[in-house]
Amino acid sequence: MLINTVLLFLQSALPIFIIISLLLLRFTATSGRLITNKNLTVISVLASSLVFVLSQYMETTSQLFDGKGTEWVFSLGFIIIYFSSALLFLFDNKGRFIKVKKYFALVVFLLVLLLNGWHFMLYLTSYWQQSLQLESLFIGIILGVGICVSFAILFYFLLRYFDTLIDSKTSGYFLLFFAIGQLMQSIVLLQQVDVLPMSLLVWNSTSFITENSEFGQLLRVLFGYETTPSLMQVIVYLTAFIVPVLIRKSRYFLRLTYGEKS
Amino acid sequence: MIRRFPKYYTVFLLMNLLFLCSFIVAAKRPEYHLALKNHLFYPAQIIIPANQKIKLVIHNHDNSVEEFDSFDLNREKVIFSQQKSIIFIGPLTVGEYNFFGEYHPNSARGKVIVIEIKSNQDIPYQMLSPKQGGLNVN
Repeated sequence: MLINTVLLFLQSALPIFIIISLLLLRFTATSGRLITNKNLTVISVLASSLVFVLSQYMETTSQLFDGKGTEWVFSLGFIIIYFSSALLFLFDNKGRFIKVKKYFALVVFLLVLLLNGWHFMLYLTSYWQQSLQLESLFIGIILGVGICVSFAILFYFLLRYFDTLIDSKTSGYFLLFFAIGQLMQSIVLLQQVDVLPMSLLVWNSTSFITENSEFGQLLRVLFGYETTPSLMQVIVYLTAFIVPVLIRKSRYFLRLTYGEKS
Repeated sequence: MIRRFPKYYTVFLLMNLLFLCSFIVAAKRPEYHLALKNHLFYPAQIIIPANQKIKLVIHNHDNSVEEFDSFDLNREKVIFSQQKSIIFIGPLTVGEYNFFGEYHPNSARGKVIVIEIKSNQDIPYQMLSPKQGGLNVN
């Protein structure tokens, strides 16, 4: 029960802490004060209220579209997260498109908080209703918060180090990988309800790093790690990475964002 | 560094779009049923044919929410109390694939056993037995 709570908390809350680190670093330290503490607080309160309100309609949502409601809603959210993050990755130039970047960053933060909070709220209310092992639940949440906060701080300073000493675009690439991880979840959900095809599994790395371990969860959030990916997931993963990188390096795009002449 | 827009870029994009859009086909799938009672899966094992996509209908008879979860199958689905949920799994290669209830992982456990079936005559008795999950085609 205790370990299960910690793992579920990591699964739900770690993406929220990771995106806070990424956005704070990418758009506060390097691009002026795009994401202010005030904005983050407002969005956090808004998202928490929305999670609470939406949790009342979880069951109704799940029964929509012939029982595929949850998958459709979550997939749409994950796809929006990917495209918003990809645009943030593309419009990485420090002094331009500030307002656009600000709104995209807030949309990403809101959706990550909403989708992951929704999942954990379900778990929490389920246990609350059964009144079982509340002590373990409480300790599990505290441990989970501790792990998430510690990791988010370490991650923030690690990325800052990379940005300063290795390449200033490193955190931008991490943001893209995070977004691809979210996109992968939408692919799995759409395959689950037979909207997208499920091809044969490309590999099974369960014996190396299991997805339900703490490290597996971390890799899943950071890079979209899957122990048993299908061919479609692999193709979408590569496309979702290669296309924004190619666009960013293209001559036309460089002219648009940096005003450089070829 | 400014690079030329790669020539194969458009072809790459088109190929991916074609790949993604060419699969939305409504096909009939063999249907299997799984029930959740007292945080236990009934049946705990389902035998399905290899290399075939199947429809799995999960009925939650408990008064609490459960989440069907499987890392082997790459599936995760919340099932509300007294409701049923549908997921599709496969095509799978021969082997065993574990699943569990995420909210009660110690009790709610089961596995999907994938076997090779050459023809209808080779379907083992257990596959048709209610104990092992029903095999119906919609």
